[in-house]
Amino acid sequence: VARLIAVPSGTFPRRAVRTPVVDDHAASQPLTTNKEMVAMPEFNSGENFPVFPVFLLIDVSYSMIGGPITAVNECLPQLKEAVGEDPTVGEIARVGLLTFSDKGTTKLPLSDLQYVDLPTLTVEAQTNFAEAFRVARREIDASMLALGKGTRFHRPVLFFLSDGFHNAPEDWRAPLRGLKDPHWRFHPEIVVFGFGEADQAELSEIATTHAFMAKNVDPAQQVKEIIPLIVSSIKTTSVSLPHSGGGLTIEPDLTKFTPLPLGTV
Amino acid sequence: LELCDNLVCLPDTKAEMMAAKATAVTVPSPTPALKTTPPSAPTTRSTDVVVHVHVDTPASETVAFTALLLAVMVLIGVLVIALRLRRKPVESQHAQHHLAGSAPRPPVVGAVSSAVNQRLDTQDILRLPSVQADAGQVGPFWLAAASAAGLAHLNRGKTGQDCYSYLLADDGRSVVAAVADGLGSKPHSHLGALTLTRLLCRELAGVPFQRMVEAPRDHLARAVQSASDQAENVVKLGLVRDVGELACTIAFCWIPQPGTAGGGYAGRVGDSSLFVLDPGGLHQVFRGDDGPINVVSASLPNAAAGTALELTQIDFDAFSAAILVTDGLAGDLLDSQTIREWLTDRWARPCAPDGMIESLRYRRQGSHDDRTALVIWPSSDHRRGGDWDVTAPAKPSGSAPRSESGRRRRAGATQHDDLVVKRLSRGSAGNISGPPAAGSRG
Repeated sequence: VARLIAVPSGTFPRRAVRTPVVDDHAASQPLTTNKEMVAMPEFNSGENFPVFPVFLLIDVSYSMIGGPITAVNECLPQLKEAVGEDPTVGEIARVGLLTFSDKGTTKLPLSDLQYVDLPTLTVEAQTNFAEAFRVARREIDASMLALGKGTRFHRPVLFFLSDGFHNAPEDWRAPLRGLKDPHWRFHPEIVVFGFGEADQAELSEIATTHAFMAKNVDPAQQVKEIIPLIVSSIKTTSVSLPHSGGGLTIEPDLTKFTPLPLGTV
Repeated sequence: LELCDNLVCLPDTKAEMMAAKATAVTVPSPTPALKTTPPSAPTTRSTDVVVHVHVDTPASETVAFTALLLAVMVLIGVLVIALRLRRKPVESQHAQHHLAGSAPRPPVVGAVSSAVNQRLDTQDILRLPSVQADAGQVGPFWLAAASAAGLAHLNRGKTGQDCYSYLLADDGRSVVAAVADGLGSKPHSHLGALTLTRLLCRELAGVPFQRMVEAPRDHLARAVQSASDQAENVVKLGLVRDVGELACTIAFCWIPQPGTAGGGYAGRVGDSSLFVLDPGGLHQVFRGDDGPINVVSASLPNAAAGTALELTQIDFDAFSAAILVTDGLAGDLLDSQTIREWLTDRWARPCAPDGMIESLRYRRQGSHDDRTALVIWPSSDHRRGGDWDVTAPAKPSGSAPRSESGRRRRAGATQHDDLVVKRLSRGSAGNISGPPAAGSRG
């Protein structure tokens, strides 16, 4: 390394700088040299495997009682099956399960579903989106940091499922802005699924890339259509992740889902 | 009857034989004394039983010795034949592995599943080969490259999206090379990778040596922008509807003939990368990004390519190899010590095309991206070499330290010029003719 070249004069930046070079001014600047860049190894001494983090944020407010929560518990094992069936998914996808009502709860931290059992969800109290977004940010941050320094990761994806609307005095948009903060290293791609009495305008605000409203009139049936779509999306996205440009792959049956326009917070 | 009178029947047991031997009757020459043993033990005179005969003369010992020798030789022959027969299947198995490119076996790292689909793209007529490889002399360098579609594409029956290209500069005084990685989100990005690597190499190869040395940044940036602009022609041909469908990341290098003061240059747009190899191991030239690996920071074509262009200057003479890689491979090099050691070992010396393909055939948990590597070794390495065969897979070896004497030789530009002139006059540039013989200076 010490034999690396040096350029005529001047200091050596510690990293390559993305400098415009087409304009005359930039063209006159000295080239970046790599004397210290090369000397700064970024190699991991062990084995770090890339991770595709997926979080499910599920509404377990009182309105989910009966058919919907039963459908959720029936369909969630499909996630585990998908991971077990497809090696390209199982090698990379890690799933975390979060719920919210009047409080946010981590039911399952980011895990390899091949080695854990999914918990059974039960209904709780009222719907508070602010709690949902707070627990999502907290858990995503903790989970990603827990992966260890140097672990390569794909952009996290958060699937948000709700059958209702925000029903608490506090403002939910501030926590949502925190979750969507583009300067946050782990800011997720948020995909929203609404069913039952969900407010479409709120759903549009929450989503970053995709928002859908289920068409079926039966909430339990709606859940049974949503979760397989999520499973399919995780599978498809996992195998197309390399250079997907950060985009989640999701292909809903438009006879069952209505795409919603994306709003801003 | 006369003959039989001269026979002595002996017992079977050794003790009795020894006892009988003492009393054996020796018949004078010309008839040798014979000892016969009946099937039964009793020692009697007999005229009707001759079972086996021991000729009790010096000639009989010679015969026995010869028989023993023959038996040993036959035994050795049988053993040799058995060994050869046993070896044949091993060799043919080895040959099969060789054809499949799996000998010696590449490493498997982490919890990987063998149940991965491997489907070819049967829908895209403009698909790329799922495996590409080259190796040969390019000017004063030995260049080997390979590109293999990743499991993410093979699993879905989609074409790989990586490409590489190289050219000897028009004036023969430098070599340019590029690798590109099409964005998975763009359906025709493999065409972008294919087109842009070639366009960029052509642009860089057209820059005269002296002009590049005098204003490298200007010429490198112009070459990138020009290549990016010419990608529009793919749209004009009707192969894609929008130039954005060609989006890809790219890394390239311009390597002057050895001994050139000031070294060479490398650049990239996006997260394809360049590593260099020396006896101390592998070194990364461009710093990595700590953001999500599936979010691309920059790509070509780009109307303002210069804004995303990273450039650096490197003394390639200081290294035993320069390695351009796409990001799938870069991630494995950075994150896996096993893969890093495997590839470093494989690329420590110049290798043949199948050696390059084999080097990319490792399996690593979560590593499903296309893999492309282009390795350039300075001339001194293959001049010093000779213990490798262009027709054989690359032999694993330790580091390939360059000798100090070689380095000192390289310090003299005149000697290098001689070397280059000799190689070029031999017509070896771009000709896959194999390395020179051991000790040859070309």
